[in-house]
Amino acid sequence: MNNNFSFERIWNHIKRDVVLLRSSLGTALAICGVLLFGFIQLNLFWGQALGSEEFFGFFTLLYIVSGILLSFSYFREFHDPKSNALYLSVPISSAERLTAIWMTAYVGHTLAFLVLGLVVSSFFIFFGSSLFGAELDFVNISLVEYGKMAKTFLFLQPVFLFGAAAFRKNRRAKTVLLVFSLVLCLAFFNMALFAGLNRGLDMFSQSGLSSKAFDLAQRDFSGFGKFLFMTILGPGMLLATYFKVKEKEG
Amino acid sequence: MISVNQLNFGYATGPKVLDGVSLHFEQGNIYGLFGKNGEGKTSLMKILSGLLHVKQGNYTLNGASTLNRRADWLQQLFLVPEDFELPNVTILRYGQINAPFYPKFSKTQFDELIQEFGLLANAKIGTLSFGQRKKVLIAFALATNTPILLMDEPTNGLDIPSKSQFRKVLASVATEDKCIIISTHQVRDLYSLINHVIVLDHAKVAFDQSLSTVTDKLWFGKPNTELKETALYWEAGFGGKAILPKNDREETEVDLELLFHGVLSAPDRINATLES
Repeated sequence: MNNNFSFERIWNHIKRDVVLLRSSLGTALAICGVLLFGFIQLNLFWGQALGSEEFFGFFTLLYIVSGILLSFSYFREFHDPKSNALYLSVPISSAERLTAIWMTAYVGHTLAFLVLGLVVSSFFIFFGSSLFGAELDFVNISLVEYGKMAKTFLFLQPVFLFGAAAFRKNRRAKTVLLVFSLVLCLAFFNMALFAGLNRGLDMFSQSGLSSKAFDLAQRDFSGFGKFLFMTILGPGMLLATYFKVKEKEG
Repeated sequence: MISVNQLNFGYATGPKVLDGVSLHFEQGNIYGLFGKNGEGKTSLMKILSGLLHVKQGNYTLNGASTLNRRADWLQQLFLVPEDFELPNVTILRYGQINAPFYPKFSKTQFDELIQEFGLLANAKIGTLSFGQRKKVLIAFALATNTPILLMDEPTNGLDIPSKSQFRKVLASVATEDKCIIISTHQVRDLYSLINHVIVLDHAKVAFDQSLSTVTDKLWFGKPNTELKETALYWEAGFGGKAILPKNDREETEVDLELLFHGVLSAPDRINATLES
């Protein structure tokens, strides 16, 4: 086994993070649980029904926002000048450290939300229908919906992990700025690519160019765009985070 | 064990902190790394623990380069930094979450040291004073049983009884397989503990000698005033204290503070006497 990559050390680091951040993690989960609970209750009182789309819309929002906010907590010791000497001298490689953080921040968070969603929804399925006679559409909460939600976060979260690792001060604001800059750059890049590939159609000579341009497009490049977007946002940003962690470690 | 060769280090703004520093640390020794404030002691400790990288020079541990922060390399050492913050968990929990990273960690030893320092394992670290938190970290550091132990100003924040307790505890764990490096500007705190002295001055190694060599070659004490001319270093004050070449004089106990001042004032004369 490679001495520089040990699953045992990763597991130990996960346990360490969970113990040290148990208060933040518990509070975040409790707040999300209460908000979800309130949201379902309000829907039942007003509409006597709750569709799975509405449920997942709100649930995804909670899952992603709390996930993003918690991502910054995992790098608190990393940036704190008083505790980072001890934190960084823990015998663990950069790759192991980042894997452990990602496992906690993504896999752990997703599993915790799966449990939270199941507990809160089961509670309402049971009590809502039996006590209030409410019609509950979200009975068929499927793993497919969870999968979609988790997939979105899978590609989005590394950007925030990068921000959490790279910036020492005003980390959240700077990361949001980074996301906007990235999206803007990608939008310009996509537009340029789209224009370049459809040059023969003379699409920028007319007014109302964007809609016309898309109407005139002969081929759908959205798959390629999506691939590019996901590569940059997902593994690309995770790789950038790794190098940032390595750089800051010494 | 540890070799640093021609290390050069400096921060982006400011002069060089370490300038061509070459040192060798061996197992079975307790090194006292002395120097005035800002002479590069902490930087050297951070370099040795892999927290800072040097641009010039090299640093090897058991012959292997330390450029990549390998986990198996980091397992060989523990750093007690001067300024630190511990998480607000119980002492017991602190041990539990950090111990698995150190293969030779001894829980029994940790419990004993915590007890020896007069602390309760169930006490929350957040409720402890800085000195008590330092004791927790020192106890943990010793219980990791790493072959290399780096301590940066370990006695800062400790009261007088705790300082002597620290010396006692450290002396009890210093074995032949350990290399302990203690950096401090409070020279007196390491009295009767170290067996090798290194003094950094003006970013360079001004002195690097074992205490046995110092004892063999130098004499410390209050000499007659007529010997003032032959003294390597003379400190005015009540009766005056001096460092003289030992020659045929009786062996004296090394006065670390006097030696430190002497090295800073007349490094060439003292080094020349030791090398003669």
